[in-house]
Amino acid sequence: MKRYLRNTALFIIALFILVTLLALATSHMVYNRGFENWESESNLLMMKKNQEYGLLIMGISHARNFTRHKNHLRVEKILDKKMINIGIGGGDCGTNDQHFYLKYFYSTGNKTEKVLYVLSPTIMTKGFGNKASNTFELEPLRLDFFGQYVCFKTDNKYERLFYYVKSKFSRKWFGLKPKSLEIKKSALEKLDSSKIKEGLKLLLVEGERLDEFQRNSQMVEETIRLARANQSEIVFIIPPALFGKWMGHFKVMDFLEAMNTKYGTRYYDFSESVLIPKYYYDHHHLNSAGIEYFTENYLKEVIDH
Amino acid sequence: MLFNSFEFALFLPVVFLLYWFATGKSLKAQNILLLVASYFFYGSWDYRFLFLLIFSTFLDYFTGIKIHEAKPGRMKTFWLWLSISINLGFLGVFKYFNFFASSFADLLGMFGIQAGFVTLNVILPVGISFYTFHGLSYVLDLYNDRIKPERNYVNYAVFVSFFPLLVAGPIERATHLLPQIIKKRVFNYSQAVDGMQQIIWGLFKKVVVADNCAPIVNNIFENPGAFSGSELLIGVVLFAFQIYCDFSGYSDIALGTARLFGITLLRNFAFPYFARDIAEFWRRWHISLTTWFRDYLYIPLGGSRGGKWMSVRNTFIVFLVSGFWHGANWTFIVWGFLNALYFLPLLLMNKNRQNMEIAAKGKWLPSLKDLAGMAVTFSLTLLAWVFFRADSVSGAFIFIRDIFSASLFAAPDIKLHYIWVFIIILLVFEWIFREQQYGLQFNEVRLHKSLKWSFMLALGLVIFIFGNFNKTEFIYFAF
Repeated sequence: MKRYLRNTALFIIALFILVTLLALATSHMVYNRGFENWESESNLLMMKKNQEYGLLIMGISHARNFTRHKNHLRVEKILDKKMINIGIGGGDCGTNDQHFYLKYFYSTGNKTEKVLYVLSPTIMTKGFGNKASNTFELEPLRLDFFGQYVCFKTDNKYERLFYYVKSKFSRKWFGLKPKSLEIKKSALEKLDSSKIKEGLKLLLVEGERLDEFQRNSQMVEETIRLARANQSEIVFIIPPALFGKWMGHFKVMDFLEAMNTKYGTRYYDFSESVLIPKYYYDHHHLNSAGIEYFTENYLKEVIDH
Repeated sequence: MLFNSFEFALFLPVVFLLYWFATGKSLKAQNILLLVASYFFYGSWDYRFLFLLIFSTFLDYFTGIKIHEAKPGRMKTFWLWLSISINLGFLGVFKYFNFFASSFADLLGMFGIQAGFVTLNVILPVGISFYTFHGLSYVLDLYNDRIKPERNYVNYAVFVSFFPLLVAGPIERATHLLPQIIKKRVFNYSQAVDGMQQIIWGLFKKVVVADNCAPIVNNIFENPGAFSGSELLIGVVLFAFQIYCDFSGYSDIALGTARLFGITLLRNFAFPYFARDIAEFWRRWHISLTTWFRDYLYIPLGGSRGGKWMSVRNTFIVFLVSGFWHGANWTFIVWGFLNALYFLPLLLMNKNRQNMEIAAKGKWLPSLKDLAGMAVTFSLTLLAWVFFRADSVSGAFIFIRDIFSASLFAAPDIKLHYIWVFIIILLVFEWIFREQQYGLQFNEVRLHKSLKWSFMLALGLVIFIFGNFNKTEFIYFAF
């Protein structure tokens, strides 16, 4: 029996080492292609150590949008701040993993003066982002990141870590090259209520999840504490949408008000700030012109405050 | 809890360690642990069905004793039929009620009578077809005085519920499994190593071959009108490998897992795609079910004792029932009928037992005759698989018609990626190891230890890199 257990353990360890070494090799290969923040949807491909930033943006797709299509450079220019964006779109990331990314950012010696949390109400009222298993599929394998995540309390952690490593052998990973999406010019001509209904229907599938809202609230509160502990000012904004208020809007506002009372964190409701179709490429994602418009007219004041 | 899930990857080592270390190697403790683990395993799907399993187990345990104690005659028969009726009753309600209700309504509709039958909104309990057949074989063997009843409930419950075979077989026999359960198991190193190898091979078949075929097959069968004849043909070929690797992969994992606990289960597959005629195919495909039907249906019906026509009739009955066992749909019945039809010429010419040994035994390559036999048999099974996989009989006919259209010769436009490579690897290994129990049983092969290790590591790596771990259920769970 001892022999069997020893050999089985040896086999598993050998396989684990082999997989790790190969995944590190493929990660190194892709990392060496040199990525800027706006050249992929990955965070670790561009995140360096011991850097100082003026602004860190986090959240879901509405946050990432400040970087996509080279918007990053435009926003940096308007705000006159060195910026890093760790937002992840596509429904692959929730408040848990956004918190973890920020934690990792600080743990690697990085600093930021301000954290802008683009708090789309969907990130609070839904749980799918926290449950996605492909969150790290575009991240290179970093052992310190892996190790910290093992110690991080979150849903389906091992499944995520499994896919994190496994994805380092996928065609998608091998094919990842620095590629900036060109300026997003496409624009809506008018508000299409049928499309909005269609989109909201998808969100309504599981209804508003009170349990998820509570869990997400606790996590965002932890993020506030994390930012404060690292001498960053954290500011919340509810991003603009062509249809105005999202489902769950008021609940999120109440939560932000409570956080304001408790921690003094600033928050801004910009949900109805941009109601001009030409600034959107869909009903809730600003195009490049929209990002410039919003940054110039609203965000600058928030950040400069 | 699926065999290819993280949960099972945790569950198995925990049960394994408890089994060999915490039970003090006492038989009673080993069996209690196996029973608790098996109920936990089953309850992880839906705990409500656990009560059904326990009831079914208790029913056969109780009626088994009654059958044995009753004197030959009416009471013995009464207890047997009580068990059979309740077992088949459950199966009928959960699996076939809606089929019969809708088929009867369709039949009446043909005569202009509109009947609105109530259909039940029930979920098929996982593994019901398998554990029902376990129980039935037990009471039938008792009735025929082939075995003595098991009076220890735990032992009997382990026989029915042993977790490796609980949800998709192999369908065990009391004569084979019970003696192993009532005997203390001692750890055997080479048996455990062999078991682990079989699990890894089964995983390769399931997650690398079957689950990578699945998305393409599903896409083609769900929307056949969008594909050319050549693409449809590729779809059926891939399905043939999907269902084989899915089910035999499951069986390999089940057999390998059981061996870790010192228990040998019945072999379920013996390289069926190397069969040279359909009779040989059925001696190699889902062996535990085929032999079950042979022993509890074909032979009681008279087998071949009543002459050629009796044999033909019984063969058709067995194949039709076997088709129906697979699912409550006419497609499965047609699939069974088609196989019976394939069997017919062999039966009439007394050639159904001409290929009893594995092809090219002791040789490297098959003869041309063997190769032709394999090609024809595989083609025939392909045709039958269309019915097995299609949603309806008419859909299957349309599918076949569209295969044999002009577009059969059009260049297919399907991205197969590396699936073909793995199918070739599978076939090569199965061919090399065809005289062994499974496609990677190299215990008997003289290879340096380091080579064996390297090979297993490489296979582990292939499973990790190319395996599809999207929790695809095993196809036979539905049966």
